[in-house]
Amino acid sequence: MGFIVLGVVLGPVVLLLISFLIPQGRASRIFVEISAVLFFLSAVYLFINPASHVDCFYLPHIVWKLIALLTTVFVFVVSLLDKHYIISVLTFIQSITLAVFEIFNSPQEAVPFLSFNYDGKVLLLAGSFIMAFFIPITLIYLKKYFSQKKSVKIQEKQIEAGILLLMAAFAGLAAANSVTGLFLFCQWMYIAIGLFLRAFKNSGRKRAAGILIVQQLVLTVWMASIPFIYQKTGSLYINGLNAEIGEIRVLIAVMVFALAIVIGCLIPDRYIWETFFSMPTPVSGIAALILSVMSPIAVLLKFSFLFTGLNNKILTLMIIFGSLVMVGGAYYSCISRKAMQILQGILMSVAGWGISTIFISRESMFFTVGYTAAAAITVTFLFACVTILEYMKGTQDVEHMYNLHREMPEMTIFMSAAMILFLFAPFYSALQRLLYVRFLADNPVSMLLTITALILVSAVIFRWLSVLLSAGDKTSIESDSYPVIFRIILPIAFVLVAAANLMLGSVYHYFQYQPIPMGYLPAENIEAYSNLEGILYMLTPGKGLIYAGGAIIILGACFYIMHRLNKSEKTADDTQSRVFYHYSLTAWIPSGANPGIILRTGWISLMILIAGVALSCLK
Amino acid sequence: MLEIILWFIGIIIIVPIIYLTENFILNAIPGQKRTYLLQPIYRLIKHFSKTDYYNRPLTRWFPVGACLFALITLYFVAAGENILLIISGLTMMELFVLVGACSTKEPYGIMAAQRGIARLTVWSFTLMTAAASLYKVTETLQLSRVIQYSSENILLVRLPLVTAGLFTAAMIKGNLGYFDFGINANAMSFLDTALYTPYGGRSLGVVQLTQWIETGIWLKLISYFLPWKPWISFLVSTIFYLAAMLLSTIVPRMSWKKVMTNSWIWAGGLPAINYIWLYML
Repeated sequence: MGFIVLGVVLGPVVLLLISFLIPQGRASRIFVEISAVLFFLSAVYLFINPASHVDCFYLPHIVWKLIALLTTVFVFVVSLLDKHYIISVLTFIQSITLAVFEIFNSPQEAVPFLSFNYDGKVLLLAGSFIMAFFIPITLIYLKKYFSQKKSVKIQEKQIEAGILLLMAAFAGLAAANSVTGLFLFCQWMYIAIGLFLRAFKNSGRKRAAGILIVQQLVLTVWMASIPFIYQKTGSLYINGLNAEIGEIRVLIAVMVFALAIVIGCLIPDRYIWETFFSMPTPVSGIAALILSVMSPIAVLLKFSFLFTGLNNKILTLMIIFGSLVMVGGAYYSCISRKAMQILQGILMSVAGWGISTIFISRESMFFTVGYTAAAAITVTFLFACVTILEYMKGTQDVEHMYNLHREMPEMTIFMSAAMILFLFAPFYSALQRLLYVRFLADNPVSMLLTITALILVSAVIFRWLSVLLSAGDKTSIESDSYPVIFRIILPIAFVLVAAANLMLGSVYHYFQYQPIPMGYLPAENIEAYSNLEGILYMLTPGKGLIYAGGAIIILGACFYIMHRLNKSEKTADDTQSRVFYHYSLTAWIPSGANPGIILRTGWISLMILIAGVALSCLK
Repeated sequence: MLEIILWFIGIIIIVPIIYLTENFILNAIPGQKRTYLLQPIYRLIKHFSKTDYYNRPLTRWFPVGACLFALITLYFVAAGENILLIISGLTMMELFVLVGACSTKEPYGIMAAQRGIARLTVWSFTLMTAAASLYKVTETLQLSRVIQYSSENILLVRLPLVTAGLFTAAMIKGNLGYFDFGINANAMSFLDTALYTPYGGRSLGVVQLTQWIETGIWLKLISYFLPWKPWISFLVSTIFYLAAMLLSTIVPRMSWKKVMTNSWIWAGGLPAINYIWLYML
C-alpha cells in the first residue's frame, strides 16, 4: 500500500526520467500512455483498498528535503537562463529560505509525508481517469498538429514531460501532509505548465509571464511563512495547524486560499485565462482540468478544518469570491464561440462552485468532491469530443458544428447526452443538498450569483445543443480520417461518464462509511441527505428515476416510429443552405454596460477585502 | 391520487377555456379583430388534420418531446412535487422547443431560438430564486407541504415579490404585454411567433397543446403562493393571467432588447430583492 502511494506520486517522475532514454516518436507516445494507464490503475487500487498508516512505506526525510531544494534550484536556474529575472530572484529567496530553515531548525517532516484520505482518493481517481482517457486523444492530435511544423521533437518531448510531471504534481497535492510538501508539489505543477507554455511559443507566452511571477510570489510568501508555522505549531504537519495558533490561523487560511487560487489561475478574468491557457485544445484542456479544477479543490479540502472555524466575515468573502469565479466562467463561456473557450469557462464555473461550497460544512465538502469529480470527467469527455472534431474538421467553432448529427451521429449523441448529464447534475443530486446545507441559509449573495452562473451555463449548453442537433449545409467527413482508437475510446468513456454522473448520489454513501479523520467535524445530517427522495438517485428506484427512465423510453420509441415512417421520404431542407448564424447570448446587454469590467472590479475588490480583513485579525 | 388526476385533467381543460374567454371578450370589444368564438379550439383541430411542412423525423420529434415533458411537469405540479423537479421538467421542455426551432434552416426560427435561450436565462433565474426563497421561508421544496404552510401562515406576505416575479415569468413565457419576445411585434397568438416556424400540421398542433399545458403549469405554480384554498388560488391566478392577456392587446410592443431588460428587471429583480429581503428581516 505504501509503495503504491509513493509510486503514484514519484512514479510519474521516474517514468519521466526513463522517457528521456526513449527516442521521440511512436514509442515515447505509447510509453506516456502506458504511464497514464498505470497511474489510473494505481488510483483504482488506492480507492478500493482501505488506507492504513501502519503498512506505509516512508522515504527518509532528507530525501524529500533534497527534492524540494533541488526543485527550487532547478526553477531558479531555468528562469535565469530564460532571463526571467524576477522569477529567478523569487526562487533564489525560496532556495535560501529553505536551506537556512533546514540548517538552523532541521525540522522533522510530516509522517507520513504522503497519504490519501477518502476525499483525496475520489479526486485522484477522477484525475487519473481524466489523464488515462484524455492522453491518447491528446497525443494523436498533437502528432497531426506537429506534422505541419518543423523541428518539433523537443516540443513533443516537453509536452510528454509536462504531462508526466502534471500527474505527479496533482497526486502529490492530493496526498501531501506537509506544508513543505505542498510547496514542492506546487513547484512541480508550475514546472509542468511551464513546459507546456514553452512547447507552444507564441505571443501569449510572454503575457503569461506576469501570471507566472504572481504564482512564484505567492509560493515565496508561502515558503517564507513555513518557519513561522513551524515555530507556532512545532511541526510541519498540515493537520498540526489545527492546534491553538491564535489569530495567525486566519492569515494561514488566507494564504492557503490565495495559493489555491493563484496556482489554479482561478481569477474571473478572461484576459488572464486566455493568456495562460493559450495552447492547443487538448493540452489546454488537460492543463485547465488538473491545474484549475482538481488541484485547487484538493488543496482546499486538505485545509478544510482550518476554514470551518474561521472568522465569519472572511469566510463570507471567500464564498462570494468562489461564486464570482463561477459567474465569471459562465459569463465568458456565454460570449465565446470557440468550443475550447466555452469549456474552459464551464470548468472555471465548476471550480468556482467547488470553492464556494467547500468551506461551509462537512456535507458541502462531500458535495464538492462528488460534483467536482463528476463534472470534471464530463467536461473532459466534451474536451475529447471537441479535440476529435478539430482533428477531423480543422475547426472548433461551435457555429461550424451544424449538421454534425448527420455526419457523425454517434458523436452528436454522446456530446448531447454528456451535456444534458452535466446540465442536470445539480438538479438530480447536488442542488437539493446544497439548498439544505448552510450555504443557502447564510449566503444570499453567493446563492444569487450561483443561480446566475447555473442559468448562464444552461444557456450556453442549450445554444450548443441547438447547433448540434440542427440542420445545416452538407459537408463531408471522410470516414478514413476518423482513427479507430477514437471509435473505441469514445463509447467506453461515455459509459463511464454517464455512470459517474448518475451514481453521484452514491458518493455520499461512500463518504458516509468512511472514518472521520482527527480534527474534522462530523457531518451533521448526512443520513438525511443520503435518503432524500424525489431526486434522481440511482440504485434506489425513486420518482426521479422513473421520470427520467420513462421519458427516455417514450422519447426513444417516438423517434423510432417517426424515423420508420419517414425513412423513404426526402427531407425538404437538404438542398437549401443556411442563411442565418447565431449571435451572442449577451447581445441584449446595453452597450454602456460591460460585465467584464464589473467582474474585474468585483474580484479585485474582494481580494483587497480578504487581505484587509486577514491583516486586521493580527491586531 | 384521484385529486392529482382531477387537477391534471382540470388544468388541461381550464387553459383552453382561458383562451376561449379571451377570444370572447376581444370579440366584444370594438376595434379588435373579430373571430369565431371557438377559433382556438377549431385551429387546434385543423392543425391535427393537416400534414407537416417538414418531413424530417427529428423536426417532428421535438414537439412530441416538448409535449411529453410538459405533461410530466404538469403531473409534478399537480401532485405538489419537489420544485426542482418542476424546474428540470420545464427546462427539458424548453430545450426541445428551442432545439426544434433550429432543426431546420428557417432563419426566423433560428433567430427566435436565440432569443428563446436569452429568455430562458430570465425565467429559470426567477424559478430558481423562487425555489431558494421558498426553501428559506418554509424549509421545504415539496409544493404539497408548501400548501400546508401557506394555509397556516400567509406565504404571500413573506414572498410577495417572488409571486409577482413568477407571474411576470408566466407573462414572459406567454409573450404578453411588455414581455413579448415575438419577432413580428404583433403577436396575437403563439402562432405568430417565429419560434414555431419550422412546424406545421400535426406538429404545430402538438406545439399548441404544449403551450397550453405550460400555461397551466405556471398558473398552478403561482397558485401555491396564494393564501386561499387550492382551487380558489388557481382561479385567482387564472383571472390575473386572463387580465394580462387582455391588457396585452392594448400595450405597445417593444424591441426585444428592451423586452429583455424589462424581463430582467421585473422577473429577475423582484424575486432577487425578495430573497435578500428575507435575510434582512
